[in-house]
Amino acid sequence: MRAALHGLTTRGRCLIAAGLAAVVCAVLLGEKDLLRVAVVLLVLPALCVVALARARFRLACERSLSPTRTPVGEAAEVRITLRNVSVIPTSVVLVEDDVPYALGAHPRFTLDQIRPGHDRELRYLVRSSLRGHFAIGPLRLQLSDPFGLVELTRSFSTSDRLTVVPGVVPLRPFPISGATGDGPGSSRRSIAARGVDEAATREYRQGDDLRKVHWKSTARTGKLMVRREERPWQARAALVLDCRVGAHRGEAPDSSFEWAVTAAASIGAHLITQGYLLALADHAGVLEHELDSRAVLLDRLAGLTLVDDSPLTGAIPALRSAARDRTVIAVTGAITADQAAQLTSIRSAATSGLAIAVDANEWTQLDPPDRDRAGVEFAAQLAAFTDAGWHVAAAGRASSIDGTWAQLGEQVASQRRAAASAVRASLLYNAAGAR
Amino acid sequence: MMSASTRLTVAAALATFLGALPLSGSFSDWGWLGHTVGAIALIAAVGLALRAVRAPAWAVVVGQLIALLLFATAAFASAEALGGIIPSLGSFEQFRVLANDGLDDIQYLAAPIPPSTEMIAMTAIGVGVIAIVVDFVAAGLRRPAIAGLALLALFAVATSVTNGVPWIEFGMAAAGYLVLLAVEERERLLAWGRVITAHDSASGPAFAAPAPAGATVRQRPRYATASRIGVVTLAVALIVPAAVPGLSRNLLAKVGAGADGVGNGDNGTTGDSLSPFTRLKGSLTESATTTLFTVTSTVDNPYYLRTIVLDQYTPAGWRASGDDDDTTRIGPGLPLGPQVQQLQSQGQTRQVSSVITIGQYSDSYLPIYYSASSVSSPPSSSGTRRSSSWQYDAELGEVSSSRLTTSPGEQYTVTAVEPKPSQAALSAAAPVAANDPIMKRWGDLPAINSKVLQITQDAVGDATTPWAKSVALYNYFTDGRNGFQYSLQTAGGSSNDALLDFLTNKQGFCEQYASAMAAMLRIEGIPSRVVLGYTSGTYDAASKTWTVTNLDAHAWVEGYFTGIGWVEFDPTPLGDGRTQYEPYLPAPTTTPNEQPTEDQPTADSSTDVEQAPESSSDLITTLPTTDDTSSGSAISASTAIAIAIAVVVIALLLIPAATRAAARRRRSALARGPDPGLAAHAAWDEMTATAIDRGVQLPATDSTRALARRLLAVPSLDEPAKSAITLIADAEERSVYARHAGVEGDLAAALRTARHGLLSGLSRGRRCWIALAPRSVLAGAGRGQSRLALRYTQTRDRLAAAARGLLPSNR
Repeated sequence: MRAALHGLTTRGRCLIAAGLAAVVCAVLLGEKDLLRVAVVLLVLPALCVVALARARFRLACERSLSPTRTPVGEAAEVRITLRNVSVIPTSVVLVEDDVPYALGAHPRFTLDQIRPGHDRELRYLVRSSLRGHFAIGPLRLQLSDPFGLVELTRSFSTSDRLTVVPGVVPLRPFPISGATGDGPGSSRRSIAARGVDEAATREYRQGDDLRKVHWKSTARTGKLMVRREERPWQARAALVLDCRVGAHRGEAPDSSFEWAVTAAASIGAHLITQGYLLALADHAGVLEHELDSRAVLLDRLAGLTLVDDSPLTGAIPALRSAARDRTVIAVTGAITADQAAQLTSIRSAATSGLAIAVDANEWTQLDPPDRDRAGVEFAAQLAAFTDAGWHVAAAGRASSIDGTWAQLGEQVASQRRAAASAVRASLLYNAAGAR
Repeated sequence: MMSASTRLTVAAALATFLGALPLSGSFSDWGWLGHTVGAIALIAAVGLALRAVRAPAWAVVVGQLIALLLFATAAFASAEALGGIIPSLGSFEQFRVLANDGLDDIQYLAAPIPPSTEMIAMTAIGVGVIAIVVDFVAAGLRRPAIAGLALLALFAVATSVTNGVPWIEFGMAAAGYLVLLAVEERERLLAWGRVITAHDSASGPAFAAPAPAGATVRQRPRYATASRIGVVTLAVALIVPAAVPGLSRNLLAKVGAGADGVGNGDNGTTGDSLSPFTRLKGSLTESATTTLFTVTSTVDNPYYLRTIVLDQYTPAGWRASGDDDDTTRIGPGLPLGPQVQQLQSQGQTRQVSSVITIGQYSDSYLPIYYSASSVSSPPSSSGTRRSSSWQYDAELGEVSSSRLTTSPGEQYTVTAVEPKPSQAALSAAAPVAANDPIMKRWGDLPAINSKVLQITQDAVGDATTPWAKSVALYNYFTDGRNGFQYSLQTAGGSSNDALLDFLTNKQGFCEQYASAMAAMLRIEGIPSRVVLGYTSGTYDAASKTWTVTNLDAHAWVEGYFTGIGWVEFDPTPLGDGRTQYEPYLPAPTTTPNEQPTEDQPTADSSTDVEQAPESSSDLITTLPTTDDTSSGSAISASTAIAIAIAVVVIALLLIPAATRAAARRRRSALARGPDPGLAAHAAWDEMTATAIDRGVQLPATDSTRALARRLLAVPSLDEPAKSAITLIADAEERSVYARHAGVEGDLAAALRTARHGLLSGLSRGRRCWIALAPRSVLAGAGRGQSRLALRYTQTRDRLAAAARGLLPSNR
């Protein structure tokens, strides 16, 4: 009752105020007709309060998202089932789901009476042009009387999470390991170094078949471990993404960073599909050591945001150890030649390094002198990668991800051709190995 | 499909229409309604059309104003309009005239008035403007609560004009407002979000009842709750003010005394809320002296100038009956009474002609002399219609107008033929017969206190002829030995009790004297009436004019004598020295109706002048005495109303219990009946209803068996009750699902046992409460399932019958 009283709308309060004024006037003037008006104005809100306070029905709410993970720009359907779990029918209920504004306006529904035990299904679509994790919900119910004098808001507590992942562009495969022949299926050396047991198990993740639990290593590690389906002698790669604020320009969704993330997602997904075990790192450190699931990769990338300008220097040792014996693929923003040189040092000997240098300045407007200077810096950056023996492809605002990836492929292929012409025997060996 | 704005426009028009209904109290018939409804409908139609083409809100208002103007032109000023509809300058002039006439009507006519053209026009246009405002605020701005202010204004006009709006009209006006609120709120809800109804939602429960026939129609939130709340609100609003005693003066006055005349403004003749006596007293007790009018006369002793005649004597006192249908326009050659004509032929009359110049006198009655033969029109009465001219009522000797009032500077001439009957003629006048129409008209008496009768008898003494009796009564008041004193410090009122008070206390002023003597004349069988007017005033010899001030207001008596007509008496004894002067009536001369004023007219009025100011302050506070006299019966009437309301309320409160009892009897009868299926349903329904009454939760979604389990879980059930419940549930289950309904056992007896068991273990108060407010009735629960079961059974029976008809008979 108290809640209902507090729920009086402006209209309700105005009616009560007018009613009180009318009572005073009626008493002063002795006007019976005015008293009747006053009674109407006072009794109506009172009855509405009582009616609303008496409406003690309970609703159960169930929300499902399909899919829970959706690429940028694609819609996901939210489905809400409201069930009347009380024994009295509901009144008209206004329903509003709380979604972040990035997903659009709050979806609203007007529900007529729900009989006991019955339910209503509400559906709506959400679409986001931004990556990220978004909370859907909680659901809010608004009850009001038929005259709009009282309004009660009740809220459910649960919310669901929608993950908007970066879009994935299908890429053409090429042997990224280049001339060294460190392609998929040929990293026996590292397996031998670690031991099969360890390499063949990984921690349990939701959705794994319980029959695959590897009890021996579970007992040893104290965590639920499962056997890998994949071959343990897996090809490995490390993906490094530059997430510094200073390295990127433009506002999401049209920014150099989004381009870089989308490129990383496409390359990562491509490599995982190709059977690579992926390490994911940003400029500050390693995010994932052993990625073999496209979904996990995309989840991680969905949550990536630009962070402040920490120097690359600090993370180099960690990156180097994560990238040991792996092909390194770096996606960089605006980076000085010095920093580029540092970054190239993470590549182990006898592995190849690929870099996509995103020309972040293309996402901003620069004065001619600045533009010229930025052009010089960018050229120096490219040179730093090339000097360190990396394959590098420059990407601008208009570049397509698969095109840029194809450029890298060209470089790798030409290097391989060069190597072939130099050492025929080696070429023959390598060609056979690659096949 | 109606759009939101369409529904709101219609609702606004409906609210305005219902809000205009209370205005009917101001009119004597419903002739005004047509134009008003036309205006509202036109405004709504224009609103609908403009909103259909999505015109902005201001354009809608402009369009509606233009439409209203065209409508008013076509309806009320088409003569001057172009093509009968486009207003020209002439039409606006016509509107101005209509408005003036309408304002005059409002000012001078008392409700209810006949719906004249100007009033119809004003009402239609006024309500039309309100309709535009309501439409704009409610449908344009979507603020229906605020539109209530415009409707309230309409209602205020209605209440201020009439003496309380009838409850039914108030109810309709309020209902219109509530409808407006509810419609707007519903539109708000519908516009709030996507509307999801049972049919939009694919996943209904499997056991949902089959969709009704009209299932293709999209269901939307309905007005059920709104109408429930609205009806209760209106009921409370109609009952509560009637039950509040302090405020319902209007109600009391209406119920208690009906039209109690004096002291109540509804006597219909004055158009003024004050009774003539109250005005007289107010005039006498006013602290300032104002010159009302001056008189230049052809004679040097003109008699009193009369304004109003009080012809009815009711328990509440003297009042004017307002019976003024027999009137003629003033002018020369006004009809003289037959007796006056006879006296004129006998030379027993006197011709008096006076020019009266109005000063501060502002009234709808012209002061004239008795038996006027000609009254010239004051200049202002140039109107041509009956209502806008001064009318002479020969029977009463009044000149009044329903519309005009006098204004300063106006002059008119009154010529009168004053009867001067001889003493002999008066003495010879025979008593008026009891069945004479004159007696019926002027001799009517209410029940009179026996003490008053006694006093009258004593005063009359042994006089026998009407004249002798009249003189005796006159002497009774004017003879100083009887102890009557002039005093303005007397409470007003001329009612029955006031009469006795006056005759006992012997203190009063002209109101009491005139009332008392007129009443006593009627007691003695002499037709009489009280005349209000002015004494001759103060004579200024230099200018030869009489100046009449407010302090000259006076009341006197006329008695009717056969063959002579009305003869005037002024029983008021005049104060300070004037009381000695009464030489003529103990021994009446040939001029009996020449009263003391004849010789010293100025002194007559000067007594009032001297007495009045000192007493003015405490008099006004004691004025409303007539209300008190009527309140006794009124309170008993209000008690009766309160009792009646209480009875109705109690009857209403008993409805659920009665409904429940009726249902129980019906079901018990069915449970004893021959049809096993029906008996099972009835017993089951009654048992579940009892359980619901007790507060057991019985979800409509549960199966019969599950419900039976819930029933069996009720605490305090004994074994017989449990087996009875099981039996009834079994019977119900069989009747619904089995090929043949019916179980072994006495369902009626089982029902009794089950009911007893279900209600056992409850306190007496709780059981009373269950009987008075049975949940099964109040919540309307427990019906759906059994109805469904019944329909299922019926369908099955029909199908079975059809199948039997189709199959070849084995027999």
